[in-house]
Amino acid sequence: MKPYTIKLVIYGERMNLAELKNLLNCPFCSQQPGVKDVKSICASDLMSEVLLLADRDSVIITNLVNLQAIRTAEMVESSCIVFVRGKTPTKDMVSLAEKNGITLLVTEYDMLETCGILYGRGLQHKKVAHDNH
Amino acid sequence: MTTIELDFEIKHNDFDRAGSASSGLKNTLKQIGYPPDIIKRIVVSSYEAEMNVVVHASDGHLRAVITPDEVHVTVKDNGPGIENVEMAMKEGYSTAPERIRELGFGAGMGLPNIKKNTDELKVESFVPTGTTVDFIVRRSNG
Ligand SMILES: Nc1ncnc2c1ncn2[C@@H]1O[C@H](COP(=O)(O)OP(=O)(O)OP(=O)(O)O)[C@@H](O)[C@H]1O
Ligand SMILES: [Mg+2]
Repeated sequence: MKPYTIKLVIYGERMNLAELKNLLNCPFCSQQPGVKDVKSICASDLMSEVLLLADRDSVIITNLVNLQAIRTAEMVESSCIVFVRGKTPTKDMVSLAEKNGITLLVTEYDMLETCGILYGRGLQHKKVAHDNH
Repeated sequence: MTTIELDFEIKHNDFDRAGSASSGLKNTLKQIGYPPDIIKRIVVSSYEAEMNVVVHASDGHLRAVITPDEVHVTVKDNGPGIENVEMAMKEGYSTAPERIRELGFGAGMGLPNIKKNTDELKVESFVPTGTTVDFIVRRSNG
């Protein structure tokens, strides 16, 4: 499937990380202190799209399990990354995330299911400004 | 605050270190109390430029000059250069091979992203000697 990007935003009541973990049934978690409530999510497998669209304190949802995903989160000051399809991060990724206060979660759901679950919880789709996907 | 000058090496194809220059720049900006939204614009731009060197070019350098009013970043590599800079600036234009796309790059949005996040941008490139991406982000334009 061609990579796509989805941005969901919470208007109104925010979701905390514990609820996110529950909703996505996360078997793996490397939680960092001081995580803020979830205000928006950015789901993508393209790092430049995340760099363009992710808000500070957002949650990134991605299939990409590599150091660049963590670096990208660091640059946009994302507070959490959810790796989909059960792909667990390596020790190096966990320690780079720890250094930057980024929580890592793993869910068995794929990207579309994950976005669907969050959409069902009340996150609203924010149309992205360009349409190259 | 006086002027701070930083200089980081960028290693071509080293995906363990890729991003460390922008990370170093970010830490300095945080320490001296630059506003978070401005920092984000600066480091998203420097990271895109840094990754272009890692992915498309050769070894290079990221240099930054930080003053109370603005940050001036220069990212320079030693080739192979960009054939057509105007084309490279277009959204969606990318020559990234499959192996790079699998890592999450190659949307052809790096240079357009830098354009969007900066107050001034100059891309100078010569084939085969190299590319210089030079940009300024001003603090007042938050
Ligand atoms: N430093 C560089 N040296 C040589 N070629 C470059 C350099 N920077 C960019 N290019 C060329 O310009 C094209 C567009 O760059 P741009 O950063 O916009 O997109 P990309 O790197 O291909 O994908 P993305 O940045 O979205 O991951 C690249 O595909 C490459 O051909
Ligand atoms: Mg790029």
